[in-house]
Amino acid sequence: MIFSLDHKVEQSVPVTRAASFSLLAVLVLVTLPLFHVLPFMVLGLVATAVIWRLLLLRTKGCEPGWIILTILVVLACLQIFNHYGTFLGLEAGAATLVSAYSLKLLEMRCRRDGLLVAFLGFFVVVTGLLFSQSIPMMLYLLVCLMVLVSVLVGIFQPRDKTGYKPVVKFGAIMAVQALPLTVILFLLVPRVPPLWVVPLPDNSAKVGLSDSMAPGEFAEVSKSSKLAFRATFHGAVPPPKERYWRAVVMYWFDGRRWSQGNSGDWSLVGVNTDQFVSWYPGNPRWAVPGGEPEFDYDVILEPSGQPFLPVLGPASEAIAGTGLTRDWRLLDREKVDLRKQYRVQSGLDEGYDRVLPDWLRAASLQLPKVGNPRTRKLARELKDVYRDDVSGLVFKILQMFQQEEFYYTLRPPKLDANSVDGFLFDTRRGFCAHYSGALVFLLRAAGIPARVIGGYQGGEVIEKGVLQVRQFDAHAWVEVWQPGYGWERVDPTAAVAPERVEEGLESAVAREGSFLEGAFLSPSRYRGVPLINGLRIHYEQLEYHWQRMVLSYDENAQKGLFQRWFGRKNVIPILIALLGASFVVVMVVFMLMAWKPWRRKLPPAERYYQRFCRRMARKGIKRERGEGPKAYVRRISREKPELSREAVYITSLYIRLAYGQARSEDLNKLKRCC
Amino acid sequence: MSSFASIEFHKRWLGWLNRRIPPSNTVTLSQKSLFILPTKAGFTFLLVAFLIFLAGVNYQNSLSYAVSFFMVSLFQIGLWHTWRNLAGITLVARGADSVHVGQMAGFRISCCCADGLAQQGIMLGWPDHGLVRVDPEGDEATATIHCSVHRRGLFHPERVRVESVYPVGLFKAWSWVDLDQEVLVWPALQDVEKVGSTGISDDGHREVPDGMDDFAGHRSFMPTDSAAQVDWKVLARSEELLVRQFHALAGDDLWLDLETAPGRDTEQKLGWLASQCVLLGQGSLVWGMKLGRQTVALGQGEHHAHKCLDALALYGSDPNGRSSQ
Repeated sequence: MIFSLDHKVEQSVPVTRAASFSLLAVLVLVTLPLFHVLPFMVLGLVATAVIWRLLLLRTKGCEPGWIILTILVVLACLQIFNHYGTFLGLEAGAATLVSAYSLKLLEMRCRRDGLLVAFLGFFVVVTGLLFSQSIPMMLYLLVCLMVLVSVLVGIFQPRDKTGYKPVVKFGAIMAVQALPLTVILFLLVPRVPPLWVVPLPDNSAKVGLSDSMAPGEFAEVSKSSKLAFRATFHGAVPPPKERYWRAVVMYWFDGRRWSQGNSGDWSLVGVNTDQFVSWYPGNPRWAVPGGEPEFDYDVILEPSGQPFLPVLGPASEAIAGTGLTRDWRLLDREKVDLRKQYRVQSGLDEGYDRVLPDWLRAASLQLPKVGNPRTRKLARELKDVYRDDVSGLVFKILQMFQQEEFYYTLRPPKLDANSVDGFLFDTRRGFCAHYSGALVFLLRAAGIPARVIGGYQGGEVIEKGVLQVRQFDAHAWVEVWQPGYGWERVDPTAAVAPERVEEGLESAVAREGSFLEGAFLSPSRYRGVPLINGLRIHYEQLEYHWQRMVLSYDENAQKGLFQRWFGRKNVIPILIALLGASFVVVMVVFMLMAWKPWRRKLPPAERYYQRFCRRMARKGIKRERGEGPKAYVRRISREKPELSREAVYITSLYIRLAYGQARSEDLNKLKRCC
Repeated sequence: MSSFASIEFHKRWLGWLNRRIPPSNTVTLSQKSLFILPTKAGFTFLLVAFLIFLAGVNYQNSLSYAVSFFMVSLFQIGLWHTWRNLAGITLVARGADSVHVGQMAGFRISCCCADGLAQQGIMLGWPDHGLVRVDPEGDEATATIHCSVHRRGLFHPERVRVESVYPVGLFKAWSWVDLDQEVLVWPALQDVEKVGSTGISDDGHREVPDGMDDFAGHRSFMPTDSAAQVDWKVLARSEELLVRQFHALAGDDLWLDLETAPGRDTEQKLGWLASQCVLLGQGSLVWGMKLGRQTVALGQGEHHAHKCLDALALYGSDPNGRSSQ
């Protein structure tokens, strides 16, 4: 009798129209942001479910039989497995969830099915968040959540009510009421590091830097206005022409493509690639840049699908979870598939590796055996003139780029097999990748160790101390080794198009108008329009704060925040105490809101009548529970005739007041009598 | 042993309930009389929230954390909404119509909302017989809830369960109320032939079937017949078990008498009388009824039939006593 909580009746209650409609809306809403992730067939399944259910809502057609459902389940499984080769990856998981939601929606008959579909909906919403956490996405998913709440409300509506509006309104009210506690929990629930390894989003198709460089690929990157990373400087921000973010160092050239080199390449010079990286907290066996780091900054790196962590100038030490490479870059242990935040100090000092090991010299002089004869000839001529004067030789080449007919362009002509020859002597049109590749080739052919550096150059300050770097800021430059000095940064692009380095890509290609060609919708393209640019900057600032305050609120951020507020090392007990306290406060607030003790006051007539009843009770005639006023007054008259007159008068006044036939003075009369 | 313990527990539980929510024909559900617990769906919802929390942890995804916390908050909000949907509801017993043993008794209960609240989705009834949904939505609504009755006499139903999972189904708020309802249960109906239906005989007396005065023929034996009525001679001849039927000769007024009613025991006799009353109530005959020392004066029509049935229902019980289940 006490715990007989479920009844068979409930399982057979059909899903109300309002609930089915909301569930359909949720399916469409949550599928839209996943559009590019889902295979075509799954989208077809979604469409089938939506159309079928809409027809059912218009009381057309009948529910799908088990044969159709089975066929659809098998088809969905086959398609997902065929498309991804697994059910476990993030994308495959999303497709599986969306399919399950669609199929369950098709099959939905009773209230329990409806609830199950709604719960699946929450999962699908979260899947959407794993792919994007931007502000628009958040607002969009908030709408999805509200609709999901109204599904829950709709499921328990009376069946004869078919309106969606009151349901959606109630859902929205509940969602808003749930927000305060959500914020409290978000702040206070102790954050923990990941418990186990999960399938991560596949970023392999992302446009961005990779560990090798062919001119064509670089052109692709410069067409993207996607965010690469944001850096928040604690202190000085370097001037534009010093913002060289190193990410990749490329030694190996195969005549077409520069690359970082795999273990096969490196075994040619007799070293093992494992020796190149010193993982935190070990100490590297090679000299690291010393001196005072000039800049101290936080970087929030967008998922890149690559392990490189861009650092301003050479990095001097590894930070937790990363490794320092032989050429002073930072590498993450895994590919960066989720947004990553790190804090580093670095400077722009150079001149390390005064003595170059033989294997590194060999790698830095590597060239294909044959090809580009004209370039080799030019290098020999230069070598004969300058001998050991490396600076003079480099200066001569840069002068050539500057004074002869070389152009900086994002629309270079095609090059044939001897690409360096073609570029240097025939087309003379290209961008950073062409110039740095050609410079390194020339230097190596002249016997000077050199390497190509890939990374980002520039960035936009969106507010004080915040630098925003986009994919089109990707850049390639050169490091040259000189005996007795070490490595020195040389940027041939700066010789051809100084505005690229000082003002960015947009002004470098302003004349040819090729900036963000094809990306008509990208706000970055319209920097020249003040209104759009102003809006864009404001939005980007908002996004930056969103990212720093909400998305990057992890274990460390939480610790830092509460250590600052409470000045204690161990924040977990503080968090738990606060959590308990705020839980009590919230419960009390809601209890008061639900109970509304201040509204308990009875109407005045009722209050006076109750007073009369208490007086009668003192005189020995207690009003029984459920005894109506008329019955009560009859009893009073019978048992205490002396009170009869007064009681009849008061009761008649009260009845008039209570049943709305009162005259204006009745209430005052009643007040006086009681 | 365990059943003894559970009966003992049940008794204590009822005693506790009686102190906490005393029987009354008008009960307003207050915080004192309401219980609330998450439903199965509520626990599943929390499980989903936990899984999403794990996704947030493993993907270090702040917004997944937020969704999980949103769900927990919603769960908490659901508690208050469900509680408020039932708190302040006033239930008033609106009586019940008498029925015969073996039929379903319907109790009318009206459900009034608290001031300014559009409460709905309230389920009323006895779990064994299914709950009835009421949606007063700010007003008053009446539902009829049924339970089967097995004993003649004054019947007090068990406490009525009032519950609601509205609006989100994550919690179930409930209460057990005793609306101090009672219903008079008439004796069970039997399949009988109406007395007096054969009309007036030659000598001016009405023939009453199943009487003892005048042999009228044979009919086959029924388990309710007494051994004295069996025609043993026929049995010896043909092994057919037949009963000799007599017609009673009635006076001008028809009197139904418990003593002369057929049936093996009192309950069967009462049942026979009740069935006759129901049949007679539909016609225009005038009849009276004798139940031992008690007499129901002559009368006719449905109202009179009910009076007789009431007397039959209460036959043998202490007029002031209560017989409750």
